[in-house]
Amino acid sequence: MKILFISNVFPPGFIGGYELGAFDAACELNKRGHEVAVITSDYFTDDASELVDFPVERSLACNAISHDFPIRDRAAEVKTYMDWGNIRKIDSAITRHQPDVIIAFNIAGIGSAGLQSYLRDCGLPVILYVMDNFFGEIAKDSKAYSEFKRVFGPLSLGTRSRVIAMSRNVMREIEQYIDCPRSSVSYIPGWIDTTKVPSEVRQSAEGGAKFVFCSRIAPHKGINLVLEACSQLSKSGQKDFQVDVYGSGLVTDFRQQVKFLGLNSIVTYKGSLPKEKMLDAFGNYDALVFPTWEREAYGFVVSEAAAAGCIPIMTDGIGASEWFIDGEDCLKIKRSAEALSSAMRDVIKATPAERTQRRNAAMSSAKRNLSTPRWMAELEQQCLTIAEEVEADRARPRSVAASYLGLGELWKESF
Amino acid sequence: MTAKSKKRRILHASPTYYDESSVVGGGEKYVVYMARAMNREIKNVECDLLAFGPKPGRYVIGEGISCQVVEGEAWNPASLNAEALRAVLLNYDDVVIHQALCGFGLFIAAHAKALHKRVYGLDHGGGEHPITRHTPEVGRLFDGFIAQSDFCASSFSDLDAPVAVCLGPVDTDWYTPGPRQTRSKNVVLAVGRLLPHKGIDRIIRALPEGLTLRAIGSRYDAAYFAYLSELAAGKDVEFIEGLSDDEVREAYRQVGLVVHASTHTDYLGRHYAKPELLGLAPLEALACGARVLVSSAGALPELGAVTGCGVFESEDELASLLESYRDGVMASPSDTLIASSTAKLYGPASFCRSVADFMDIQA
Repeated sequence: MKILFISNVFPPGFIGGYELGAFDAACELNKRGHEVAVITSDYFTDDASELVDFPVERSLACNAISHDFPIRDRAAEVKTYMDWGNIRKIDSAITRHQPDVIIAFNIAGIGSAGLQSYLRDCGLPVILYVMDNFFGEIAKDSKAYSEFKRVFGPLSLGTRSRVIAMSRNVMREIEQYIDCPRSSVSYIPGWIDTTKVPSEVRQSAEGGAKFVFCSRIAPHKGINLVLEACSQLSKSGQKDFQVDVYGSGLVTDFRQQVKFLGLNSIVTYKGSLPKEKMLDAFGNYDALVFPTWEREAYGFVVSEAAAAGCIPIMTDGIGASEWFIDGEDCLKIKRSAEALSSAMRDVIKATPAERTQRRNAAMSSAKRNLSTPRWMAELEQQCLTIAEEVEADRARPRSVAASYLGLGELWKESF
Repeated sequence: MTAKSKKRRILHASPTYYDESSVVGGGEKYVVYMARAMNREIKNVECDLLAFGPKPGRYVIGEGISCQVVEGEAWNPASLNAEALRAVLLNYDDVVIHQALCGFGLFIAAHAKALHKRVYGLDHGGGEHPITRHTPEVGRLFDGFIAQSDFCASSFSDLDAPVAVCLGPVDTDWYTPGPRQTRSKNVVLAVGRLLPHKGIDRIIRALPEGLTLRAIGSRYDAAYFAYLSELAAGKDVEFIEGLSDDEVREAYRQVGLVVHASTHTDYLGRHYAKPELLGLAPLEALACGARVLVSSAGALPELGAVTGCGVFESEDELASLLESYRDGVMASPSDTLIASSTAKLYGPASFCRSVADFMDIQA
């Protein structure tokens, strides 16, 4: 099969799990003999060292990249709704690659609403791979969006699009923008390459418990709550634990906070490790602390840590929590420093044997339920199914792109 | 019913529709003519109309042609709703868009094409959205353009889509010569909305003594009408409004000469790029067997190919021709000859052959 991937960002540069997920999926489907091509933005440059197996075109314009990096340019804001230039380049990629299936990963910042509508109309089978709410930057009550809906019509899947989502949690957000019939949606969790994690749980050390935080160093991922929980534990006299922090982001703020709270002897910043090294490193810890925001679409780090035998302590309700059982292979908490410190205390107070037992349960669940081969086979099957079910209309994309050129002009005139 | 014998469902979309509640103009009338002609002459099609207005509903316009009116302000694409439009478009195979080049037309065309309909466009002089001149790519919204005259074909020069010249149609089944009767020899008729580019002032200036001008049409421009009234002082000029189509046809059947004097430059020096893209009123007169003089503006000189139709280049020439008419020295082919020549070149049958061929419809 010929498969065209669309993603706002594509490795080697990445922001988070969404881009890495797109990368994994492209590599896996390519390995399985499919002809993969990728179109992405030039937000990150490619050093040409990583990707040699399939073409990656970095021609799209990415107008926004993150919810915590506000857009201050009105023209760029408009283009986050609909960017004709990007539609034109994708239209060109479709014409050149003639894909049997298109998989759209993160389309935030590249004109998500217009692009989704274009993909709906382009005549080809399309899978929207939802790992986050890529419509999130759209202000639902803005004049621009109400005019968008009037001019282009409400967002809808049409007859040729399907959705693969990481969780019901993220679908609840997406469905505030687009109606997705239940029969069009299937779920694939955050997968983990089980060959790259420790094969067995490493014994927990005697004495203190070892925790790990590995995510973007930013408030929405819960780093502040981690520090607050550590401070509470420390103040209550609990000293026999360590927290190692991995990741990038607001590192300066984080380090200043560690010093301010007097946590230097407990919390250690370890920088960012390459993915393979991090997968191994998770095996050295008893538990992952991940008090991320409730709207977390999934949280790949949960699958990765669990597969390495590191008990996930995570916010209840996030995408990953849908795939684990509280008290058995994970600990689900309310998103607060108190709840986190309480869960951490449980781990600290457990005997090494009890910790090892829980860590075994986490590893076993993750390896059984979340392995890459299992879910890549499912993705491949979804591609084959949609290609078979949906009658492609290859004459359409070019003229449909022209439709969006005309409608885009009328839309811009209207506000 | 096999797929081959299935009728092609064709929707004619126009900002307005031919009715007193909307607009009674040549552009609107043309839409009805075209749909009616296609329903009559092409066995495998079924045409409906779509227009926009404040009162949504479904109306029947002549010979069972259904006209669906969707809520919206005609000509204002910012008043149209994509969802409502798409719901209508889904029911058709082909969409023929009248006034295709303006914002309204692009809105319809873009949605029709996104729904993978065959899309055809016509221009009736309703203006062009600037983007039509900015990129030929807009042409991809259309499977082709239908030009009702060679002059009209030039409207689509900037766009990347095929153009077919399909002359007409004028309803030569309804506009026919009357029972044998004598035509008045001292009356000149001018039919059309009283708008500056229609050049009624040119006829008044050229009108010689001894002839009466009857100008039939609604006043759309008060300043222009005041100007015409002033110009008509001392001349035998009558302005007649509110006639029905039957009454206008009767006038065509009785009058000796019809003049259509549209102009690219009006009485205030304003320029009109497309004053006439076909010339429906003079064609109706010709179909009734009347002799016609047309100016050289827009597509009008092309009507010179019809027997009984003369073309003038200037007001002086018009004045001279009117004197010839008054003096009884103007050539006078028979009504039947004029009508048959009109039907042959501009009638529904020849028009529909061209259209069916272009739209790849089995006639």
